[in-house]
Amino acid sequence: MFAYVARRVLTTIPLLLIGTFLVFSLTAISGDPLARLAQLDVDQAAYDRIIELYNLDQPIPQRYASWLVSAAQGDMGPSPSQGGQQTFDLVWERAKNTARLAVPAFIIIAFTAVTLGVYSAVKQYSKLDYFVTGFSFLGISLPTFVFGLLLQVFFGIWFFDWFGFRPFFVQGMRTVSSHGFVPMIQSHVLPIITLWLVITASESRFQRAAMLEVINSDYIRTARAKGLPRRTVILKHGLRNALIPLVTIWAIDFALLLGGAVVTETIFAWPGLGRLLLAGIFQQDLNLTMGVVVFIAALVVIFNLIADLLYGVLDPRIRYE
Amino acid sequence: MATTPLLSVRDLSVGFKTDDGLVKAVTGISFDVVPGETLAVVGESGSGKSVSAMAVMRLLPSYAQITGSIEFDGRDLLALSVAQMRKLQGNEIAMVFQDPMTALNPVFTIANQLVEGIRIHNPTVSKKAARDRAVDLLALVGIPEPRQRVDNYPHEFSGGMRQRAMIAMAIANEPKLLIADEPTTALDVTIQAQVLEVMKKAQEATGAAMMLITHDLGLVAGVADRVQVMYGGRLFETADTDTIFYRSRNPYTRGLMTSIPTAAARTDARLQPIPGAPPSAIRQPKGCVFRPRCPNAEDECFEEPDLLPLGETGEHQSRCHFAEALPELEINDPTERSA
Ligand SMILES: Nc1ncnc2c1ncn2[C@@H]1O[C@H](COP(=O)(O)OP(=O)(O)OP(=O)(O)O)[C@@H](O)[C@H]1O
Ligand SMILES: [Mg+2]
Repeated sequence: MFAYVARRVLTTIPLLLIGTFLVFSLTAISGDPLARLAQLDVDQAAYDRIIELYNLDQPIPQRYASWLVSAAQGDMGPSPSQGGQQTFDLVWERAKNTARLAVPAFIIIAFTAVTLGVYSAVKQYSKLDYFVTGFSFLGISLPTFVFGLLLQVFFGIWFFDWFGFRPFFVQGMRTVSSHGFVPMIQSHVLPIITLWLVITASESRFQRAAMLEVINSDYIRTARAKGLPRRTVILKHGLRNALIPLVTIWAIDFALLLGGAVVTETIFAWPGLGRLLLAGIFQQDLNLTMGVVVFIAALVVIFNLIADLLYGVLDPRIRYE
Repeated sequence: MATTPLLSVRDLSVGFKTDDGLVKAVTGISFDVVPGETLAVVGESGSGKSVSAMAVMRLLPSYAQITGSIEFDGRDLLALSVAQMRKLQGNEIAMVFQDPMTALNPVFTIANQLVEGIRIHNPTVSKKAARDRAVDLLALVGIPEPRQRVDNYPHEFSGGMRQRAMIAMAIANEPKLLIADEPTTALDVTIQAQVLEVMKKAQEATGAAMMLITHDLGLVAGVADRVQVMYGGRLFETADTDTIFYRSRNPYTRGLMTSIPTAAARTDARLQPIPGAPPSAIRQPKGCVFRPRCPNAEDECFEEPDLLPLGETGEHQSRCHFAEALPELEINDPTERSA
């Protein structure tokens, strides 16, 4: 088990190297930070210092190498576009904001997706099944920015016109310490609903398919032939098996949520990782972009590993050697 | 028959509405099973064997159209509520399925799956007692070191062992009727005989009647008291085992025998498959469903024959216009065979 984890972590290292190198080079060649610098009227000494600080005069592989060496020591470098703040601190601060959406969203998503998927599979071709299937079709085909904007228009304009107040904030993040408990909730609702719709739509489809496959399997027939109550057949024998393939999807979705939802955060002006990444890319801030990318990559690696280990817990046929 | 039947099926028909039309899986079958006896149900693939068994277990999907009556131990099974039926399932009527590789839940131990079946019908039995019973059952069906193996997961068992475990599960509550749907078909030939032996032993230990479904007529010879032959969802012939083997009065049964090596060995006939394929369950041939493949077919066969009793006792029944007129079977002398 320990050996398995160690091996898994080691095998991700080359992947991370290739991935970070690609992102680094692509970001580096996608713009010319010196041109931007020239526009800012700075004196020659400052200009030279910046070139020196960010190795801008060196070829990309060398710049990547020096970035890698510091990054491996935990130094992600300063972020020029954010006034030279430490990238690591920036990412960590924003990651906490993103987690404020990601964690509750994930819990609600997992719960509703499993419930909807199981119900619609058990009652296949019923009205409820058609409703759930229609819902997930809608959620999958409706782009996030359309749904997010619709929510904003509905609660920010129409609802206000009808009732004279806005139940939820349509922009920005409020915390308990900054504004109090109720505003905190009010600011979290719409972005969470947006994340919820999109991800629940696809997860409930997976859950439905997994559950359908399971309830048509022989061991479910065996369980029914034993005279077990329907609940036991569906929840113990059915769901327990149908959750196994979902674990991977959960891991990926949770990692992506924690990595920051670029579109949702942009629409709702949420100071999270997604917008930080966007800022890094638009302002050709290599250190910042790399900082966020490495953070997301680490999340994906970690949650995939967790998913694999959970597999072993849920499915006794899997052994880690 | 002096004994009152345990299971009495009358005019049972099962249809499935599908996009292609109505699948007539079973058409008007009637039969009895008396306590303690072994009835073999044989027939080619698609003849409706599993569907009739599943109808008795009330395990057919809800879109199945079922007519007729199924009386078990004085109760009309088709009239029972789901909750009432559940009390019988796995308790008074139990079933062993064809494929032991998929019939056990992969994520629970054998002990878990045995104990849950015992305790659902005997809620007062403690977990500990149910577990002891599970171990005894595994010992009965010939699992070595049952005390350790009971905690294994299904994937740690071989195919033959899994089927033994399935049998243990089925007899756990000493059912009155044990339905085995091709319990050996998915197993290696070498293990088939052993598992059949275990079935027999389990049946004796519990005194259950058994409905043994198979398409291998040869398999039933040593096991069954009576044989019932199905084709195209209908009963074609039914009689005691010896009569079926040596005095069959039905062309389909005879064809079945010469098409199966183990059965063909009992007659002088050469091994010979029945030409053609079984009929579609949606568009069945006019008249006798076996007519298109029957070597004895005549014009009369465009008229569907009834299942009629032969001889004095009426226990031998055959569905054929020429049941009486068929030539005698050339058979090996049974005494010679057993020597
Ligand atoms: N759920 C179902 N829906 C539609 N048709 C079905 C269903 N179950 C069985 N059938 C059809 O009913 C007919 C009888 O099937 P059944 O499974 O009883 O055959 P069988 O005699 O057990 O054959 P085998 O030896 O292959 O197990 C077949 O034509 C089959 O396709
Ligand atoms: Mg079958």
